[in-house]
Amino acid sequence: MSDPKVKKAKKHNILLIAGAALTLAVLLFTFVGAFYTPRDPDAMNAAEKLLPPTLNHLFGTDKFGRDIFSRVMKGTLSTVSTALLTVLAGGGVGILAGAVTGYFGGKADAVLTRLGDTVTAFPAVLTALLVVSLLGPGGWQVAIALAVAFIPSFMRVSRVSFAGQRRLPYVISARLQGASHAGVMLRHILPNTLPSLLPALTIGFSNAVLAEAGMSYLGIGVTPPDASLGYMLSEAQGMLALAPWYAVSCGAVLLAAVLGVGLLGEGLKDA
Amino acid sequence: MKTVFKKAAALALTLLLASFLVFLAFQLIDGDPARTMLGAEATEARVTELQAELGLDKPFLTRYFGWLGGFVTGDFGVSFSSREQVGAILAPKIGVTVTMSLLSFALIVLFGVPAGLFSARLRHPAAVAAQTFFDQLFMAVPPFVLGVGLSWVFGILLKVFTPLEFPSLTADPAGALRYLFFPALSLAVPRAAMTARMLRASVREELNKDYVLASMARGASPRQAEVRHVLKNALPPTVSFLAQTVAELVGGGVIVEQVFGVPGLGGVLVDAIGKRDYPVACTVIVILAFFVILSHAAADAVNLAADPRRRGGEARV
Repeated sequence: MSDPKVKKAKKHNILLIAGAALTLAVLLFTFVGAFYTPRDPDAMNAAEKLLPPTLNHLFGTDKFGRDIFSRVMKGTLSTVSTALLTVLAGGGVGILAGAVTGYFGGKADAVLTRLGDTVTAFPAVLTALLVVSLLGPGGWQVAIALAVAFIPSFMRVSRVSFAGQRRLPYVISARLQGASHAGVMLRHILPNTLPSLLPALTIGFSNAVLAEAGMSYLGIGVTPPDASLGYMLSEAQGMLALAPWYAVSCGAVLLAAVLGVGLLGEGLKDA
Repeated sequence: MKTVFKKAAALALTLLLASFLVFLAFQLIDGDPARTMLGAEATEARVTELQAELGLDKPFLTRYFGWLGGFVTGDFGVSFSSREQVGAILAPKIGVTVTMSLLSFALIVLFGVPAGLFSARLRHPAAVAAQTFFDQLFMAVPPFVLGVGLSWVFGILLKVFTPLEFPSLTADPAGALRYLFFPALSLAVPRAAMTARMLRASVREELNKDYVLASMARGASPRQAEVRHVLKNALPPTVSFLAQTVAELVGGGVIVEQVFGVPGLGGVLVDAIGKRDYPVACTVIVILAFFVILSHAAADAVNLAADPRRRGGEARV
């Protein structure tokens, strides 16, 4: 009977490895893009317009002769950093709020849960659009808007885990040994909730990448010259017949980011 | 009966809370729309006059309930930017968005459910690994990226439709439907993959339970056991998931409509937010939120009908 189990573990390892490799590649692409791009992403060159991908221009050039590889690098940096910021802020606040309400329970918990359920009824993009219209367009504003939009979903996951653990014997015995509430939550319960929190964080990251790209596609996110992948995709759509490789490059990087993190989350869940 | 009443009350409360939150949000965004509309050089008298005209001089709660009363009776107010009735602006757009969402929902069910049921039977390790990979691949496809891809392949290369030229839904319904197929498909692909995955997981879980073995011991074929018992028990999580899908369709639809130049509610919303036209934006968001909340309620009702145990309420634990 042990044989199938071994096989199962192996399969998940492959997922984990593939996911980690893809994610690392995207992160590497992002961080290199922060310091170095092969060309100036915004330099136009009339002599090199609409070139298909070659070794000289890995992803080709657009109708202004700009190097698409360099542009996509810069766009990825802007998209991925916004998404990371979103997960840090939204995940931090959401997990903390869920932990406190789940652990202590009571009226505040009931009210906050009801409120959270109502907010999750709004698609995250709509909530983010609302918050952006409050703060005005821009990179920081979008990160905050998305963080706010994602808080309820993180809060829900963390609340469920903390509420499920708070009456367990190990929590009570830790309390009896004199551990503070904060100490119990941080040192004892949090590690036990990681199996459900980690996938929530990876899913949150992919959702944040997509939401950021979607909003900047609508022209609401980061404004040029600091273009993000979504903005570039809308730019690429305008030259779809002339330089399809531009749209394909933007789409492929977005897909790779989401797929890599998705596989990673899937692998982590069963690891 | 008591459960139904309770659920209806909770539903009404959620709808009320949602509309209140949106109204409050717009209040926070722009506390003084009259001044925004008239610009910086407007005289104080003109601002006061317009405030009175728009009813903005009344206290917040009075305005909220006034607006809510209008909303339920179909009077959504007047657009700040075009001074048209909001209802008149939205009426021709709602049909387009609803058609696109329904089409997409149909595609999700049509592809996701059979794929989930079929793949639940495959047990070979290689097949399972392939399933996980394709699940993740299709789930990772962002609808608006797929939309651009479909515009390129079917619009520009194969010329099946002309991107950004939407045929009128009333003048050319067949053409409009054919056009809407592509945005609907873009929205459907990742959600269909998620549906298949969810259904497969719950069918597999049910297949391992004792009652399946018992029913086969009584002489049912595996097929009969599956159709008669497993499906019924495996469906509720999928039905709930499909309800959440509506929220995604609504949110993702806002962007995909822009990709294909479909004149639906999404375009109106983006435009209204850009122009700070809050009566329009507020109405659209509340309509979309109601759409989502009501579909959750519908899923609840389906699950209640399918599973009598759920009718007992939450008190008995």
